[in-house]
Amino acid sequence: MADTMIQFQDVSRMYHPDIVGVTNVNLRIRPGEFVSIVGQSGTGKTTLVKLLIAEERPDRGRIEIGGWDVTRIKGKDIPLLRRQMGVVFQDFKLLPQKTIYENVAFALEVSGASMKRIRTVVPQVLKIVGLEEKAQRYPVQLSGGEKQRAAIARALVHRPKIFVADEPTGNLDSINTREIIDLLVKINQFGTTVLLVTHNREVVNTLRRRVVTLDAGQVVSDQEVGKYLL
Amino acid sequence: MFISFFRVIKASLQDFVRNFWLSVVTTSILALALISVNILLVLNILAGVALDAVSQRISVSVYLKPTAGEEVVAAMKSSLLAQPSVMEVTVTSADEALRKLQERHPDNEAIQNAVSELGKNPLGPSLAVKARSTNDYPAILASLEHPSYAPYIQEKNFDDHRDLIARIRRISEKVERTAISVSALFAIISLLIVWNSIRITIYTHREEIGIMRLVGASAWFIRMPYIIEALLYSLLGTLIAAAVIFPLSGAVGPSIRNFFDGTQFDLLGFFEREGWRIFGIEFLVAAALTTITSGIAVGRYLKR
Ligand SMILES: Nc1ncnc2c1ncn2[C@@H]1O[C@H](COP(=O)(O)OP(=O)(O)OP(=O)(O)O)[C@@H](O)[C@H]1O
Ligand SMILES: [Mg+2]
Repeated sequence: MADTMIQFQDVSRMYHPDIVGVTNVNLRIRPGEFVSIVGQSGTGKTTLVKLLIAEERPDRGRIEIGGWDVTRIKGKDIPLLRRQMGVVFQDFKLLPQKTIYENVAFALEVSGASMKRIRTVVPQVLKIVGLEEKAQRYPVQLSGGEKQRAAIARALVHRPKIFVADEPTGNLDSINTREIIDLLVKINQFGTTVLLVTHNREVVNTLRRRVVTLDAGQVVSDQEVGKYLL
Repeated sequence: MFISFFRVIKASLQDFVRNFWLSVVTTSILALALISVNILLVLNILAGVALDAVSQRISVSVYLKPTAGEEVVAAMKSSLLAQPSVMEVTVTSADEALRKLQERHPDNEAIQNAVSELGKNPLGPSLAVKARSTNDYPAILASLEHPSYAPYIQEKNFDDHRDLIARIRRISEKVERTAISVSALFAIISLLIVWNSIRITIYTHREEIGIMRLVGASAWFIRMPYIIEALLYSLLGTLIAAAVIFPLSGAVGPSIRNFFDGTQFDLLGFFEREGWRIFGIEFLVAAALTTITSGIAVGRYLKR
């Protein structure tokens, strides 16, 4: 279907016969949507993200991304899938011995981009996140919010159709949180589908976008203009 | 593609330098393994040289009675040469034998007098027979029992070095067996160390690898640096081994020549001639084994 970006059909992932990752998840996300995924700790939010980027495989069900069935994706196709998606996590995952510029460039280098492309794209994405002035600094020389912005810049280098943020503000204070969320909204306004996993009630409530609530691995509520329920 | 290749090479060189001591240990072990393989190879060759040297000295001397005329000598010589196992037959005529005897003892009056008193040559002609293989002597000696020759034979003298030869053969077989097992042991140790080094290198890069996977680096891009690193270990190990073996063979070559006095074997010359091939093969084997090891180590890590 043309107006479906992400589709989960009866997806289950058990880590163990008695450890539920997610069960029976049905979810359809349209292109350009901004979806928040909320739920208590250990309810399967990160598992959902891992299934999406093919780091975990579902035991049952079917996952489609942009019409591409990635349920049983081949190992060699995973890099192609990941270049369609930008992903950031709570812990930034920046390389400490590289500058911000080098960290962002690294994502392009390892996928075989030309020097020319790297020289054009890296300043562009650094500008989007407002770090062009601090490109030559090392991660330790940045604040938490700046580090997360650097991670977002890196996630943008492949111009992803889908942007996934797993608790991107988990380590940040409210001002930095606000900045990061504004940035995600800006990315969404470019037309990118955004998935935001968060614990932050205020963020969800002020966003006034679709909210999917998970509990014990199941989707327990899915509201078009959601509130943080729990 | 080219730019990626360049980046991979750069990454592996960086790893090599960053984990400097790990690289030093790994390379040294590989070099040590290759050096011992080469030393064992030399020992094996020397055992062969020793066997040759001893075999060269073996011959059977057949002393004939003075009654044996030239035609008898010629017939014996051609019948011996007709046997495929006979390599060489040297004839010493009676006159020659006498002359040699006199030359050897110019001051011994008893000999000189005895010869002149007899008025004729008391010595007979002789034949020195060399076989192709030491195992052939019994058959050759037996062939001389033929009734047409036997009456003329005064004495057969076979310096039997067969015990010595058998002993050298046993030693050389033992050397060969030891060489194979020691080399195998060294190969296993080296591979374990390479395996471990690659694991450690991967471990120190686990963050980087995680990020590479996250941003969509292809598998070969993640794998290649470790495989190239293994190649680098093998290349440096081989070069170091060669750098040790060449001067070493230059240094011990003369003593080997003294030991087997007179042998033409030239150790340094041997490595100068065959070194390319020997070290080339050793490099290829080391490279194949280490890259496979490295590939498996990375594969196991990436499969999670
Ligand atoms: N690799 C794993 N092996 C076994 N169990 C796992 C693994 N990863 C997660 N789990 C379990 O699966 C369940 C869901 O985990 P998940 O990480 O998806 O939760 P989450 O909603 O992201 O939690 P949080 O809000 O704390 O990040 C938890 O019970 C967790 O313990
Ligand atoms: Mg989580």
